[in-house]
Amino acid sequence: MKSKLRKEAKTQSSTATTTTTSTPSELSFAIARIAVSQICQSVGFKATQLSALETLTLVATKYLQAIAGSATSFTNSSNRTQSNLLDLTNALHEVVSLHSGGLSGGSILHRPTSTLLSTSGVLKDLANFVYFHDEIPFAKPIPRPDRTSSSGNSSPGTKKLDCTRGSHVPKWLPGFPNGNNGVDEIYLGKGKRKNGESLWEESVLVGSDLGRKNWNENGRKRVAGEGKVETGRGKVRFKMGSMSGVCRLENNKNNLNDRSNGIDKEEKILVYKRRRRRRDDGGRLINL
Amino acid sequence: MNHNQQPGDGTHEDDAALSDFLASLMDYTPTIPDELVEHYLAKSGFQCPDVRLIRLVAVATQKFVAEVATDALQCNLECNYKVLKERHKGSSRSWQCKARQAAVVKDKRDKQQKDKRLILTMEDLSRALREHGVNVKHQEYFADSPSTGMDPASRDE
Repeated sequence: MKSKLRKEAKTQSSTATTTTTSTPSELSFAIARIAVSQICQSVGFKATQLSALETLTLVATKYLQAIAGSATSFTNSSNRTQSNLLDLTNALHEVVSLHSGGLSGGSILHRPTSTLLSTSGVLKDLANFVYFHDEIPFAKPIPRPDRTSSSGNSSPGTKKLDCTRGSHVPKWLPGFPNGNNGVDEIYLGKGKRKNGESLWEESVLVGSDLGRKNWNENGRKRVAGEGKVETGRGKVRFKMGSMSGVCRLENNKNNLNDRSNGIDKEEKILVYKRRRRRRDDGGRLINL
Repeated sequence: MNHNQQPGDGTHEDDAALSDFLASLMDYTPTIPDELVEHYLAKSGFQCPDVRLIRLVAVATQKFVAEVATDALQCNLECNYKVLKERHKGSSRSWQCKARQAAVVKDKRDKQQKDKRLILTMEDLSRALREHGVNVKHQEYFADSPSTGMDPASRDE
């Protein structure tokens, strides 16, 4: 159960640390355990129980993650993805006050006249800690993964997207579909799907003038009557009653001449008209 | 006028102090390496290109671990001090650290040797962490079956 702490990093035997770590979490936990044991040694301990060391390492990693998670939540609540010093200070105030029973300066942190270092008790404590304590460098060098050789992970398409998408798109998001011009293609309807599906805006709103000038620029011309529904459908109109508000059916005789299909002329059609209303001097509505 | 000028001067000084503190972070190498901190920060969703903030988090964690270890050391020293005090008084009873009393009675020589060598135990660690808001309970022992250690007459078989 008991294991000796290392007094000098260079003279330690390698047998204690050659436990093969298969997962990255085990590797990070092993590195954290070494760091925590170094801190305990600096405090004054000469030996430790293995279970105590692992418990303290676990608590330290969870503390680190708690600070990071709290800072991230502060950042996200401010509509940002990248954290800054204020987010981190707020997170430290939130986490440190839990175990130290409160700190000074947390409530007046957001005043415009105050600055971070003058009001934040956490930063003052950390500044004092850095000033008075000697630094303890990590015992062993950490093997860093060779990022330049891992070219298989990043496809060549992503590199192209990084420069053409613009600075408003974060780099960690996946690429747009259909190549580089994904933004334009979505609106133009060029990137159709495999099953022949297309955006409903293309089929319904083609005839409407919504300011999409790109269509004419790219050679797509509007055809007269392109937006209209091809199959003949009966028009439905509703007409509101004058006084009683009863819907009446009206024969749509005017439109029968336009139709090419042979539809029964006596078909009754509901007609809905919006009446123009006017208000009198007293503010009442007058039906025309 | 003076009230408007004073906070302006104060902010300049505090900004300088803050930038000095952040610069000193770059000189101070935390015990927890930057790669490890970056790994855990990325795991939690913390995104920041500034190395100084990563070092700030590392220093905060180091300070926390140092505080817990110091409290555990203090608890250890207090218990040893009380044990030694009880020895000099000659009284057999002690209202604290009863577990250590049993060890003291057994081998005094070994205990004197071990007093010089400070050991981090689960008892001290749990007591220190309880003050910091972390409840750690350690199993005293593990038994093979629920009826281990019970009297044969009281066993339900």
